[in-house]
Amino acid sequence: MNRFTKENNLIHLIESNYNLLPVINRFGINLGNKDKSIYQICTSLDVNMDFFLAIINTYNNIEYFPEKELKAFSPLMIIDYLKKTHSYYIEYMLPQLDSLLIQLIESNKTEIQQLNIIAKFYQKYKTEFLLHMKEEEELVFPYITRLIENKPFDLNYTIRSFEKEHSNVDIQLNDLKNLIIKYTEPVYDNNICNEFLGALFRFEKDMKNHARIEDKILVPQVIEIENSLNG
Amino acid sequence: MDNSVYIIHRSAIIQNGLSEILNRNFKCRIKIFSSFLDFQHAKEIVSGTAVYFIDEEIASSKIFLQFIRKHPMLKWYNIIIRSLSSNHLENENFIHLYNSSDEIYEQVKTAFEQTVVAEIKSQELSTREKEVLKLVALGYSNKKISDILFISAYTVMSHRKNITEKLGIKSISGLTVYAIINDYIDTSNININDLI
Repeated sequence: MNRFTKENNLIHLIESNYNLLPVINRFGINLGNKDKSIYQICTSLDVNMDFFLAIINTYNNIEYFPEKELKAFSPLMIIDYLKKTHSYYIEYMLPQLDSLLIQLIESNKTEIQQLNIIAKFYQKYKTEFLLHMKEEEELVFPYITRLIENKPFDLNYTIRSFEKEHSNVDIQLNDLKNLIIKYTEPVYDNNICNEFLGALFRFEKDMKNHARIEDKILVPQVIEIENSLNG
Repeated sequence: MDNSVYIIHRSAIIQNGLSEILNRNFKCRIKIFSSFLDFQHAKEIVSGTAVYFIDEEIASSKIFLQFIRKHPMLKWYNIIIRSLSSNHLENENFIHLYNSSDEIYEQVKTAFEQTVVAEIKSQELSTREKEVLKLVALGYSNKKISDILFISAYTVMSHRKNITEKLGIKSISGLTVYAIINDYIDTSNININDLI
């Protein structure tokens, strides 16, 4: 798979993979840029072009993950990107899933209650996921920021204490898909269900990429800083 | 349907003749090996389902029997090519050198159908697995489940692993949802919110 370069223009990116649209927006880049290249757009908006290209390329191609290159970026810049993906989940993805799930349940005209049980599972997943993000925003990210800015930080806390938590939310999302695709009576409107599943798949892909950057880049970066301070 | 066929036989006449009959009647991928060693070297070890035509001599060889023991998950439908009309075991799948192509067709068709049935069947939970799943859904620990069902905790864990593999559901709350929507547990007196 080809990698995007600074000479490419935005339409080339989007035509190759329109799932990149929300990722592009996260960098404060909007549409309507005529034929400007990525280089021109990033320069005019003061976006770090190398970071933009690294994120776009890793998102676009699951095989491509230049750990060394990514680790060279400032953790603060990575945190900023991760926070923006959080807002995207909270402000757009989850409300969209909520509303599609309600529509899906309403489209069921039978007495079969399976979808309501699925909805409870989704609600529980959502609660856990929101809590996970809240912890990152209120504990983990501030801890890292203080660490980097050489400000006093809680010595009882290390980055390792939150490392494990990602897997659980991933597993539940996958279970949700399986439960609907394989085990639920299709007593709903197919088009709404397809839309809901489509949104779930997009969400899952985004989340995987998000988690990969957190687990493989940010956490090792922070461990290195911690080690250098302790050593 | 994507069927795989392996012909492991010394005779070029049998290799080609059998391929010809199969190609005429089935849409399948045929691989031919002259010896069992060649087959092993090819590392064609199949995870899915396949039909194997095996040389009579190979079928009774030690190396082949060892191989089957080592790969218990493989679904073998050994159709043994017998060169003599002599004795054969009742429960053996075999074809005879002098069988007509119609007879061979019937044998192979049955073998393919059996592999499909075996594949579908293996995804279904056994009675024991359903019992374990039910208790998992009700929130019991492995220890408690082993006490209730009079099995070791290790066996409980092994059942749980199989349940997860068969259903493709990993989280406890996901398994609970599965148990509820399939009516494995009676939820009339339970608050579902406490379970999931």
